[in-house]
Amino acid sequence: MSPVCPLRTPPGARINSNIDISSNRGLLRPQILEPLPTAFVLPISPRTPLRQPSKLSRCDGHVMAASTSHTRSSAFLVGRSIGRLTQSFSPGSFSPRNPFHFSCGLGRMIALVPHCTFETMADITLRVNGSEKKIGVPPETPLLWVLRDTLELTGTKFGCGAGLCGACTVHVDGAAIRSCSTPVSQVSGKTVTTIEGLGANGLHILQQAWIAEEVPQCGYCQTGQIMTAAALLGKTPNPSDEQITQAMNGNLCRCGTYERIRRAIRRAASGGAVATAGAR
Amino acid sequence: MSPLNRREFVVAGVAAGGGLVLGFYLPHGANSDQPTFSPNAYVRVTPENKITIVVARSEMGQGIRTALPMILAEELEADWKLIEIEQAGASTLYGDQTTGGSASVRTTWDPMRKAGAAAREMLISAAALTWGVPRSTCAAQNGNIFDGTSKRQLSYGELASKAATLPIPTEVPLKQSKDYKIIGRRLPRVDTPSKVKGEAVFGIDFRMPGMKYAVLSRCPTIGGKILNFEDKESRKISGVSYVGKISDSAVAVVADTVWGAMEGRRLLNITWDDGPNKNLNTAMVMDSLRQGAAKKSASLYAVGDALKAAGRKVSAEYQLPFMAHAPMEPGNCTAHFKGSTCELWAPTQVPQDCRDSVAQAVGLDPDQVKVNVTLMGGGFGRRLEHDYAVEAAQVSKAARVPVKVLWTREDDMRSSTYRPASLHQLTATVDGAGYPVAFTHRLIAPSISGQRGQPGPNGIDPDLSDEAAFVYGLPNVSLEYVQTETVVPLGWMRSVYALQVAFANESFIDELAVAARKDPLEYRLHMLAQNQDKDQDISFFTTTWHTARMRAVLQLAADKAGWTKPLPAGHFRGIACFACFSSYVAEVVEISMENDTPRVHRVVAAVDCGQVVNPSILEQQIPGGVVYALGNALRAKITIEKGRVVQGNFDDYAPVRMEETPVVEVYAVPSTEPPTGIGEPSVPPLAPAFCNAIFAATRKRIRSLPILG
Repeated sequence: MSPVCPLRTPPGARINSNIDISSNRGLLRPQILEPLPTAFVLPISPRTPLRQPSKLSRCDGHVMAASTSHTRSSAFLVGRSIGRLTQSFSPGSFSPRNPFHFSCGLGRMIALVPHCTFETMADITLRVNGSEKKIGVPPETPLLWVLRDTLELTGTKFGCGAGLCGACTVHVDGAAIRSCSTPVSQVSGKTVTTIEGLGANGLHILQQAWIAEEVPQCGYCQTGQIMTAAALLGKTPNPSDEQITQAMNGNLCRCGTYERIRRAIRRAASGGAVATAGAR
Repeated sequence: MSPLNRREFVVAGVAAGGGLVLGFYLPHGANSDQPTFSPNAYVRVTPENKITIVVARSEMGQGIRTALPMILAEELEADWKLIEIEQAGASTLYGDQTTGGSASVRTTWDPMRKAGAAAREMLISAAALTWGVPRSTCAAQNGNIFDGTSKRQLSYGELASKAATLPIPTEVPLKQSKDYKIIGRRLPRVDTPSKVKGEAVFGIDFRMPGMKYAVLSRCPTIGGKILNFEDKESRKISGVSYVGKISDSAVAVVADTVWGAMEGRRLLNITWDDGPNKNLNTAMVMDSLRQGAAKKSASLYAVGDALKAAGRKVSAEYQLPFMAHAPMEPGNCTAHFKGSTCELWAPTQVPQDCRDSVAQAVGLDPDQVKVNVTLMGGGFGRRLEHDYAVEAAQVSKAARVPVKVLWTREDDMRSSTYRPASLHQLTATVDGAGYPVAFTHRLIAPSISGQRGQPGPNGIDPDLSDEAAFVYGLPNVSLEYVQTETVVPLGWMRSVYALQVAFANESFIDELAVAARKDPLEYRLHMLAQNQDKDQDISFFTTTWHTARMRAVLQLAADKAGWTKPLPAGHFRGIACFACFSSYVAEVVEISMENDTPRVHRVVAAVDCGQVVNPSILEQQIPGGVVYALGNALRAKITIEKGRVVQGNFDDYAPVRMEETPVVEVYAVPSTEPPTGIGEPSVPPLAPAFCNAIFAATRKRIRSLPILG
C-alpha cells in the first residue's frame, strides 16, 4: 500500500496532504486551502484505462474515492463527469470488507475501491421536499443549480444569479433564501423546501390565493414570490401592509403583479391558520 | 370564395402587417381511421368529445392562451370546461405568427371567430343529417347540438365523425356581441394553476435526454470579435464536454450542468479585438442625435401648414435614453441538431423567424427545422429577436448533442437590443387663448428596422405607423422623423416608439396648458371637442382615430380619479393620454414628493380597446404596462462606455419593486367595436402623466428621462 495519495495540486492551489491512508483507518479528510476549487480528481470516464492514472486536473471536488496498491487500479476520484454513477456513490459503501465496484455505462469496470475513501465536504446530504438526497456536486455549486439540474426541480427559477430578484427563492429550515447565491455546501444536512414541496398535500393556502386573485401573468417569478410569502406567513401569520412590502420587496416581477401579490397574501392570511411554511 | 374541400381549407384574415393570412391544412384523420373532426388548423373535435383549440401566437404573460381560444370557443358554442389548449409551433398554417405589436387579438379576431363558426355550422349540419331534420331546426349550445322540435341532443364528439365528412362552408354567420356567452367574461386563465405550482414549462425548464447546457462568452464590445482564446482551464472543469468558437464574436462552453458551463466560461481566456466602436460612449450617441436634428426630416403626418400658422411660438426639447427589456426569464433556447434536421424548443415571440434564421445558420432548409414554442418568462419584445435560437442550433451542431443555451442576467443586459435613444423637438404656435393652432413634433432617432436593412417607405421606420398617432383636432400638425444611425443594437421594446412620442407630446401639451393657465384636462378636451375621424396614413398602415373615443377615455380617467376633487395635502396629479396599437388610453397619476423623490400613490387608467375579450386579463395587462412604464420612467437607462454596455444586473438597472408600486385602477369604455391592443397601450401615457404630476408638485419640468438619473 502506497502511503502517498496520488493527488497533486494544480498551480496556485494547496492541499494539506496529510494523506497517510494507513494512519487514518481508511477515512481521510484532505483539508482544502485557498484558493478554490476545493479538490482535484483524476478524471475518470468510461474510456479511462484502468491501470494508468490520468493526469490530475482541476476538479469540482465532490465525491472522492481512492484506491492505492490493493489492486491494479491506481487511484481515482469520481466526479460528476460521470454523473449517473455519482448518484449511487455513497461514502458509507466503502470499507475494507466491502470492495466497491463501479461500472460505467459501457459495462466496463472503471474503478475499484478496496478500502479507503476521502471524505470531502462535497458529499452533501439534503432533505429536499421531505426526502433525503445525496448530492455529488462541487461544494460551491449554487443550490439553485442543484435543484434545477441535479434534482430536476425546475419550479425554482433563475433570474439574476446575484440574489437581486428573488426568482430562485426556496426555504432552508423554513427561512426564505436565495438559492442562486447559496452554495450547496452551506445547506448540507438542512431541510430544503421548494415550490414543488410547498403544497405537498394539495395546494398551499398561498397557491390557492394566487389562483383566486389571478396573480400570474408570465408567471416566471411567481414561484419565488410564493416561497417568500410562505416564509412571511410562517413567521407572521397576519402581516400588515408594511410587513408584506418589507418581506416581498426583494422579489422582482417585470409583469408588475405586485398589487395582486399583496391581495393574495392578504387573502391567504385572512383565510385562517397558515401552516408553518417549509417545516417539512 | 368557392367551396373548398377539406384538404385545402383556407383560413383568411388580416395579418399584423396588413397582409393576408392563408392557412392550408391537412386535417387530422383525413387519411386515417380516426374520424377526428378538424375543419381547419385551429380546432379539433374527437369522437371522445375532446375539443382542442390551437393557439398560434406565443404566451409571454399576456394571456393569449386563454383569450384566443375564448374567441373561437364563442363561435363554436363550445363548453369552455371541455376545451384543451394546444400551442402551435412554427407553421405555414397560421400566417404570421409574430407575437408583438399588441396584435394577437386584433389580427386573429376574425380568423378565430370564422374557424369556430365554420366548425359549429358543420356540426349543426351533421346533426340535421343524423336526425333527418332541416338544419334550421337545430341549434348549437354549450357543446351540443339540440333539435328544437323533439329536444334531442348530440354532443360535438358524437357528431365529429359525420361532421368530418361534410364540405366546409365558405360563408358562416358570426354571432352578435349581445349573444356572447364566453367573450367578455372573467374566465380564469388556463395557465394559472401550473404557474403557481411550479409545473409550467418555460424555455429554461425544458429538458430532453442527453441534453447538455451551454453558456457563451460574447464580445463585450459592440461590433468586436475574438482575436484568440485559450480553453485549457475551462476544459478541466468536470462535466465540460465542448468548448468552441461558434461565431466571430462568441465562444460556447458546453457542460453537463449550467453551473459547470458557467464555471467553464469563467475560466476561458479570450483576447478580444474590440473593433471599431471601442471608444463609443453615451455622450457620442446623444451628440449624433443632435447632429441629426440639423438634417431634413421626413413627414410622418401633416395637416394644414404648421409653418405658416400665425401666433406666438413655443418650443421645447425632450430626450430619452436607451432602455433594456429585461424580462425575468433570461434568454435561452434548446436545440437538437440531427444532421438533416434541427428541432428547437424556444421561448420565442417569432417562431417562424427562429425557424428561418436557424435554417440559414446551420445550413438546412426551413422545412427541416422544427420550432416548438414554450412558455416565456416575459417577452416585452426581447424575444422578437432570435439570437438565442441561432446560438443554440449552432452549438448543438458543433457539440453534436442536444443543447440548452442559457444567457445569464448580465448576458441579457449587455448583449441585448435596446429601445432607441431619441431626441424630440416640439414647437407650437398658440392663439390668444393659449391653444395651439399649429403643432410640430420632430422625432430624431435611429430606426430599429432601418438598422436591420428594412427602413420602410421614405426612410420612415415602419413601426411609427402604430406608434406616432396624433389624435388632437388641430388645424395644422406636422409630425416629422429624422432617421439617425447608431451601432448600438436596437430592438422593439414594449410600446416601442409610442413611449418616446407620447412622452414628448403629452409633456409638451402640459407645458402649453400651464402657459395658458388652463386645467390640463380641460385643455386636452378642448382640442378634442369636435368629433373627427382621422385617417392617419403614416407609412403602410392606415388607422382611423376618433377624437370622440380619446375624449371619452380622458373624461373617464378624470372622473374616476376625482380630477376636480381636492387631493390630500402634499399630493399632486398629472394626466396624459395616447392612442396606439388601435387603442386609446388616458392615465391620471397621483404623487407626493418625499425628500425630492417622487412617490406614485395611485394611477387611474381608462382604456378603450373595443370589445374586451376577458376583463380579468385586461385588468392584468393595463397595470402591468403601468408598472413597467413606471420603471422605465424612474430609472431605466442603458449607457455605453468604451463601446460596452455599462449596466449588468438588477442593481444598476433596477426595475420597480413592491414598495414603489402604486394602486392601479383600470376602467374600460364599454364597446362592441372589434377588439384592439392591450399589451402595450398603457405604457406610453404613464411617463408624461407622471412628469406632469411632478411639475404640479415642484414646478420643475422633466424633459429628459429617466426621472432619477
